[in-house]
Amino acid sequence: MSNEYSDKKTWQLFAEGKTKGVFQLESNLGKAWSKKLAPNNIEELSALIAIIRPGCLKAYVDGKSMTQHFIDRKHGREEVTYLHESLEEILAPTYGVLVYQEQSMRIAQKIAGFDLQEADELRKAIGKKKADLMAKVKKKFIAGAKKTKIVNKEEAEEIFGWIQASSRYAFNKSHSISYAVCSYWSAYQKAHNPEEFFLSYLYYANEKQDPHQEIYELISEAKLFDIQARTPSIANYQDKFNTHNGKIYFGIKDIKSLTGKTGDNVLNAITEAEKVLDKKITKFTWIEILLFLAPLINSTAFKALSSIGFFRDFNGKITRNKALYDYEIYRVLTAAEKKWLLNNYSNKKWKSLTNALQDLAPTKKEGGGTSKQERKQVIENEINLLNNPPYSLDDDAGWLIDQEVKFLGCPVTLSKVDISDTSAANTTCKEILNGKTGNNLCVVANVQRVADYKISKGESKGKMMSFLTIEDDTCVLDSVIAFPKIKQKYKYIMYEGNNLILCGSVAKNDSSFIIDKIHEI
Amino acid sequence: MANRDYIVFDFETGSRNPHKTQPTQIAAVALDGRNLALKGTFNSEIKPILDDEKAIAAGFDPIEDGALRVTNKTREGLAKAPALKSVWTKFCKFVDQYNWKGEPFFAPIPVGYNIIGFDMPIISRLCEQFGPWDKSRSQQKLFSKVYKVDLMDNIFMWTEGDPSVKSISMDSLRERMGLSGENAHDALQDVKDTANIFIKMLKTHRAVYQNIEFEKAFANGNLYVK
Repeated sequence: MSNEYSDKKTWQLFAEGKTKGVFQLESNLGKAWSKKLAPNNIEELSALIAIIRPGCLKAYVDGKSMTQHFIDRKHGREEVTYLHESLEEILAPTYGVLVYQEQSMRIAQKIAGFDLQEADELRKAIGKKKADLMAKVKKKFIAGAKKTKIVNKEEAEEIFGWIQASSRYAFNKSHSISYAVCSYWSAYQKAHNPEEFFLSYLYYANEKQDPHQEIYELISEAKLFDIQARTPSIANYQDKFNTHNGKIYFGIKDIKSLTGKTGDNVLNAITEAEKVLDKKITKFTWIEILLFLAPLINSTAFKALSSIGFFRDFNGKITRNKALYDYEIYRVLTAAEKKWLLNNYSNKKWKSLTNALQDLAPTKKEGGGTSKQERKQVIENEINLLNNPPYSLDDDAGWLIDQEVKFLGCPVTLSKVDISDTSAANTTCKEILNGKTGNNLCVVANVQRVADYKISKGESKGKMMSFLTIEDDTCVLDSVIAFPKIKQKYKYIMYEGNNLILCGSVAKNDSSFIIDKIHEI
Repeated sequence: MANRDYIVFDFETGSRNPHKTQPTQIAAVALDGRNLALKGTFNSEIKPILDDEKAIAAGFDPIEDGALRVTNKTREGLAKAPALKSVWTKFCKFVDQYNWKGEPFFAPIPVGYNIIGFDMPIISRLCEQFGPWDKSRSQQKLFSKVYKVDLMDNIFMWTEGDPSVKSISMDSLRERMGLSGENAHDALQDVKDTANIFIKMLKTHRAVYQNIEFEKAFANGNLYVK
């Protein structure tokens, strides 16, 4: 078994807390504690899964949670002690912390001479918190201890009390080990086949409660594995997430508002347009897209495709804004005018929409395609606005990011910090996540989330502090802390969506980035 | 609050009555609601109905020569400009770009100088004519339906305690604040000037707010009006 679970790369992944998508450890909590514990065998992984449950995290002894006790003991920061020396052989694998219900049963067998059935009764009594049953079992436990004579009566009562208290957090080991095995193998796949791992998770992201959040997290974490995401384009599209040249591409049906039949319609429309012009869509010109593809799909779909850069691969470089702008002008045309353009395309082979509209504008009597002077004027207006757009049709970085978040759930082409000057940064989120420590660390990041917390005890009781999730173009960092003084000083700029220069420190043996200064960009 | 972008905009028109005037130019700048950075610029002249009789018959005021002089436009120049509906459609697309969530709640906030009295009625009129229009409330739905910033009100509040300020017209403000009057009454220049003043005001407000909070301001019972 030890050989089977001895892959260094896999254990390294746990130690770095890169456990998004890893069974049982994919939450922020799971990632943080995995990094803190850094399990390196299946026993420790099983214990990790058991001790990050609410009961254990909330079970405080000597001012520390049982989870923290376990971790400090594992790393030699706290002495491993046993309530009684006789318990060492049972509790040694968990550093003297009573983690599993099975350990309680074994203690009862050893100290009180319980047989397996009696031990199971003890487990049930503890688990179900039945006072009458508990009293009965306790009586039996004390009587049994008297017979085995391993501990005296006081010690037996203390041990029983300890077992009773463990009911708040002790977990079923067989359950936990099974989880650990699944967790190990999912981490193994992530460590060795990250591209396939992320692809499969993204593929089923829409089955999650919040698909966009899931996609956001997966795409962010993929960056840690040097896997970049791309939006689909006419040069590379499929119906669902796919990989190409080491990059993950969103599928047509992964675009918001194209997930169902609309997405199928788009795929069918592309095939149909290809048949009409007898060539692959990659060989279409922009005017051919407008004349032959646009009429086959609804406006919501065409706008969504334009907004995420689906048409970016043209020789003439169509910006997203230009695609939307031209499409809106195309939509001004009547059905008859659109048909006239289609019918005349094979002869005219227009190079641009402007050329096409110039031929269309004259009335039919004048040799064009409009029905009356009024329509001619409308088309001439649009030609004027095509030649002199009233606003820039370049893609503003901020707008582009907003569009990708709106339609894909996350920024793909650019990072949110790309719109800011990042020259003041001396480190990145990825470096901090990978264990960089020290003072005066400055990272330029976008504030993704601010969780405020009212301190309930100690000197700062009643004051507010914040836990931040920040991101730059390297990854997301969620262990960022603003203590009360900093929270108070910077509360007006420390809000979701803002790009900031965050300076602070990361102590050795800690993964939290403690902010001590914030600058606006 | 800082989760919507601002659109500072201005119309140049052919007459003074906002309910009947014909726009001859519309310009706007988009500002990031968070850091107030410039995100985009819109500018287009608009072809009005230049024939006085036809304008009156259509329910509009004729284009006044005085207005053309002030805005530095000619009838010949305006005759070559795109028609109102085409420009309006493009303007709506421009504004819509800054609704970063694509939901009404996040529609940009309109900003301008004396917009409540003049420019917003024109916006409402055009929205009703060409969309987007909220029929149930008889209200424009291009911009935020709740918030609007008429910078003139802010300037009034900021300067009303200063007896040396005799006028808060845009021209007076330009002079007072050291802005060039060279291209004044060109919609784009007016919008840029308004945006500069707006950003300065907002930055000042933000700095003041950080030192004087309103939270529980009257909790001690010290009310001005009892």
